[in-house]
Amino acid sequence: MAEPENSGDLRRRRRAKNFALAGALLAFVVVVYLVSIVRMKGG
Amino acid sequence: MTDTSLEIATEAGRDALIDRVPAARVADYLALLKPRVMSLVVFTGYAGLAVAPGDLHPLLALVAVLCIAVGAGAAGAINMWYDRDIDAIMERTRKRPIPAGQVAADEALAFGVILSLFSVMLMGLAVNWTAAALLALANGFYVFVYTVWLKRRTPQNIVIGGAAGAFPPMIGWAAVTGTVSLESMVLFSIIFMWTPPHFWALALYREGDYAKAGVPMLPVVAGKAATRRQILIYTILLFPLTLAPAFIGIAGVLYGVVATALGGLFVAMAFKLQTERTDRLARRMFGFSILYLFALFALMVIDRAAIVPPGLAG
Repeated sequence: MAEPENSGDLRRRRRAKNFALAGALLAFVVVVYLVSIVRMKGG
Repeated sequence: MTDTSLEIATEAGRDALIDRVPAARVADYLALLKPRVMSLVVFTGYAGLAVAPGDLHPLLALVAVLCIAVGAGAAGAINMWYDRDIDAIMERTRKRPIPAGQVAADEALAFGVILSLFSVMLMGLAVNWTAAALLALANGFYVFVYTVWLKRRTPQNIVIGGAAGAFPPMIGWAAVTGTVSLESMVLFSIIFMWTPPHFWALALYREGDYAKAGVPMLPVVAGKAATRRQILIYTILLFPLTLAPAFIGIAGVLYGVVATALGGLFVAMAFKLQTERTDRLARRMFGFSILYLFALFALMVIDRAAIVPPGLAG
């Protein structure tokens, strides 16, 4: 396995990963919300 | 133990644990989705959706394309998980996130499975269950039939396995119509017949790589001459199929004319490959094959828009 340069670098990468995951989940919620509105309007 | 020493011990333990985990970046996870393959899948999926008769709300169309993209990417991630041993051997694939040690194999598998389930579920709930079933079938075919069953067993791996990559326009079509029809099967057949010459052109100049990894690609098992012959046969069979959309109402004259010209070029290239046996030509054919497929589906979309102006479909 490739070793991270240091734990600070690793934490930065992990933080970026967490933000990306949070963004993806938020986007999913928004998509489901918008789809629900479209479907309820008969789209 | 005092609170302070406990805090230090916990901190040290966490650092030790962190050091054992690969330092995956967001970009490594995106690489697991095979973005280059995904672009072709997304485009053909969109084309299927655009040429289908009927209307789909733009947001639902966007969701359908997103689901096709994520589903294809997820299957790619699972493929990378399963093939991590041979990926580490082949020059072309050894820098992928798992063999490069950037992403743990288990994480890649979980990532792929979760995305696959999410994409199918969202497609079903937001668009329709026919499209969702086809997406699930495409993913299952790619993972279980191609990756697990065929890839390491037979030189026909990409002939049969190629069906997985042929599903996207059919899924796009089903997203609009909710059905599988002759027209969508024609779109499926075009990609299905295009896949062998496309991959065998690649295999011609990557033969050593595949041999080293023990993957029985056609040039490894039957030799380069037999592969060139097979490329020619499939290219000739593909040619009339690519013209079918002009005859069954998916596209019009513009498509027919340009598809004839491009198909002629592709067949000519396959003929030239029989005499000019260079890696350079095989590489050119591989590159042209990608452009060819993009052009065919782009033309279908353009021509369809000309035949049926947006908003009048139905």
